Amino acid sequence: MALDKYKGATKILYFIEDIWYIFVTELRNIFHDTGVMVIFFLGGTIYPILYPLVYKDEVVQEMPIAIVDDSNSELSRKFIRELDATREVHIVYHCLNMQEAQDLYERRLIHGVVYFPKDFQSNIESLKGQSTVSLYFDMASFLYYKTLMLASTNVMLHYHEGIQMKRYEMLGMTGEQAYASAKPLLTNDVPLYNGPAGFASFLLPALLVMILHQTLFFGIGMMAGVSREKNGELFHIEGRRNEKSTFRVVLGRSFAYILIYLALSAYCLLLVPRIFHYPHIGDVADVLRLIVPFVTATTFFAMTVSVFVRERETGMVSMLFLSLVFLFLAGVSWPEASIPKFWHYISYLVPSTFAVQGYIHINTYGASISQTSFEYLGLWIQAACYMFTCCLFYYLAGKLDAKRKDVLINKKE
Amino acid sequence: MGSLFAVIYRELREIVRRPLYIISSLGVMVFVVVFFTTFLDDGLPQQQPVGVIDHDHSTFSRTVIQEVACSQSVRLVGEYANFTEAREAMQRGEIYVFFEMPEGLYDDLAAQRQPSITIYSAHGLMVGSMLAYKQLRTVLTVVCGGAQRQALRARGLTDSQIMTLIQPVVLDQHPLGNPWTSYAVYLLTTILPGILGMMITLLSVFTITREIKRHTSHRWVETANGSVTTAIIGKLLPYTFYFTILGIALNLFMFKIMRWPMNGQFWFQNLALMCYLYAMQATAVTIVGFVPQSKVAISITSLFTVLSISLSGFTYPVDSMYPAFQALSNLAPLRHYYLITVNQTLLGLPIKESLAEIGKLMIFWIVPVFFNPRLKKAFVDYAFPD
Repeated sequence: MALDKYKGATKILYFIEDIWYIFVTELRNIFHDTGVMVIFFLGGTIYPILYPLVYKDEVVQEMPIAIVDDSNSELSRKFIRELDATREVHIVYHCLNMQEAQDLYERRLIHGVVYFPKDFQSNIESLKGQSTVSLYFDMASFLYYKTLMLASTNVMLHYHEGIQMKRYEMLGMTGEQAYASAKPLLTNDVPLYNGPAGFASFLLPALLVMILHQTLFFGIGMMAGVSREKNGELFHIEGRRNEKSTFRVVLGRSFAYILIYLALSAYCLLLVPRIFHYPHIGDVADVLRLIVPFVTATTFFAMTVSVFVRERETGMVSMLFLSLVFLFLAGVSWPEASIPKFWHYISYLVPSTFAVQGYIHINTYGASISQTSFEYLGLWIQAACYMFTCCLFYYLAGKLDAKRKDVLINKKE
Repeated sequence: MGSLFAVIYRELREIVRRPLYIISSLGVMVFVVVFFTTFLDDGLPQQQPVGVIDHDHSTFSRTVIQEVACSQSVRLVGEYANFTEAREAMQRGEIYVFFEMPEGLYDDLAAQRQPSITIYSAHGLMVGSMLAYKQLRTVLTVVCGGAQRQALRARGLTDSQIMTLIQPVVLDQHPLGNPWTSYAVYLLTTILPGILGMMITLLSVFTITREIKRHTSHRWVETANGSVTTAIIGKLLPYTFYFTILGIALNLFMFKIMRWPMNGQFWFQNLALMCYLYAMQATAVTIVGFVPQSKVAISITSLFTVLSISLSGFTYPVDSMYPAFQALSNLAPLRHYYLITVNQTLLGLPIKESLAEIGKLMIFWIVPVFFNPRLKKAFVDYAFPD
């Protein structure tokens, strides 16, 4: 069918009709492919529910620890009582010596040991030197370390006040004056956003974006592989040679993915945080405005990469590890400010980086879209660039595939 | 035995014909090792961005700002005129923590009226803001201690007396087994084997289901004299061998070249890694047994391997999960391997303490046998079309 025959309006009409045809075909292919459906819909709907359940408690509470109290004094017992009263730790064993505590630790019954030396009380009372409380951390998880550290620091600070007050009284200061000397300067802590400082509240928004990004990435890769397996071509339009219609194929196909993922994104990024009571102080309209470039950029990014996929399984087998790499690049597990410069620039190539940061700014910190304009613009620039590379690669791949197919057909004949 | 070698030979020929997957798995391992070790180079994140609002503009408040600016653990990126400006900078992600010094801070301090400094922290980016907060707090305590010290010196106390007065109790930290409290060591000893296991599982599922997909699996089982077990073992052995070498190379890199803490037996760690890798291969066969459709199997496998990294509990402890997930975590071989790694690298426990986990990994090896009849139907009769 030669397009030159048609002029003006008819040409545009045919253009739109082609896109519509490709769009519908792609949707039908997606819904008929169980493998892709598992990735898109099982991954895209079940994962966002599964992960909040895995991280349900957010913080480690009442972590079992042991005490070795060689001091056995009034002051050490006071410290121990206060420690036990914290939400973070629970003293389950009072051991006679470190050997006993080590044994419990090796049997994984406790995740930390707090040790008071013999001179604990006498040092404090005589003003001879500082007393030491030794903390032994279980390093199997960083959260164990953080939990015991947090609990004992808080108890220590509170404990200091009490001791210092007494001291100043001994030095002849009383009441208000002693209090002011013990604490000449107060510090107030105001946690903004994500009050309880929970693990899930900080990780989950990032994971939700990553789930969308990765399922879309692999689903598109799979679709490309399936098409190659079936027709030996990245995309096959009946009655038309595909090198002439690259732009239409790219548009038609991408619309199908974008449509599905706009819906899934609204579910993941708007509904899920509300169901599980995770932070969601952002404006719904602003989240939606971020979703559009995010889904567009991710679609074209995935379509660009999918050109190299030859079989259904190729993407998964050789690129699944990227899920972890992208998660780190997004700057959540590891603070963005500490990412080495080189990897920091590399991270700008991946849509999830901007999307995760933008989503946290809007959803968790309540920023407006203009406050996260760097990420927002970044996503649009990515969308434009990847759309260009996608068209280019599709065009080249279409030519190569056709050539390869001709060779195969000739061989057979 | 003859049929086993015939299957191995058949698979080797297939690998030589399409070497891309085998080569790419080596490439992936090299890449992730380079990526993660350079990425987490610092060990512990430093120089977290913080901001300040100074309403006081006194010599004291300037001193505080200078102290914060000089501290190596935080980086002072901005001074803001008011709360709104600072909050907006935080929303843009430019700073993780900021503190506000009120007007009259110095005067109140001099008159012992206990002024207060407010620290605002964003917990949305937990690791970063937590560290920034902790470090800012330390700096403020030091500065504050300086003010106290001056007052006490005036009363004629010696410096050591002052220290015991200001800070009667100090916390002495002993991170067991990982003396550097290095984030890299703690993350990577599980993540890297996790990725290796992910790859062997995907490759195993791929190579099995490809036979079904191409309708060649009946010939494959014929080569094995009709035994599904022989067919599967013969097919997977080349990968077993290859990934064992990759795994030992990985361990050599982590514990010998990088010298990450290894308080146990190096050879036993290798043995555990092998048991884990073979358990992952067996899990691959089990998944194919469950869903013998080539289309679905690979998707299920990838969802499973990604989830099992979280379920292993190395970031978020398993004992803080729902009981159902605690039980579920047992289904992830990585969970058992992680427990052995803790025993070996951090605790340096005697080997007998880890034998139970080795046993659990070995249970994974036999599970596929129960799926033999179903697999045979899938391989020979193509009973489960997509």
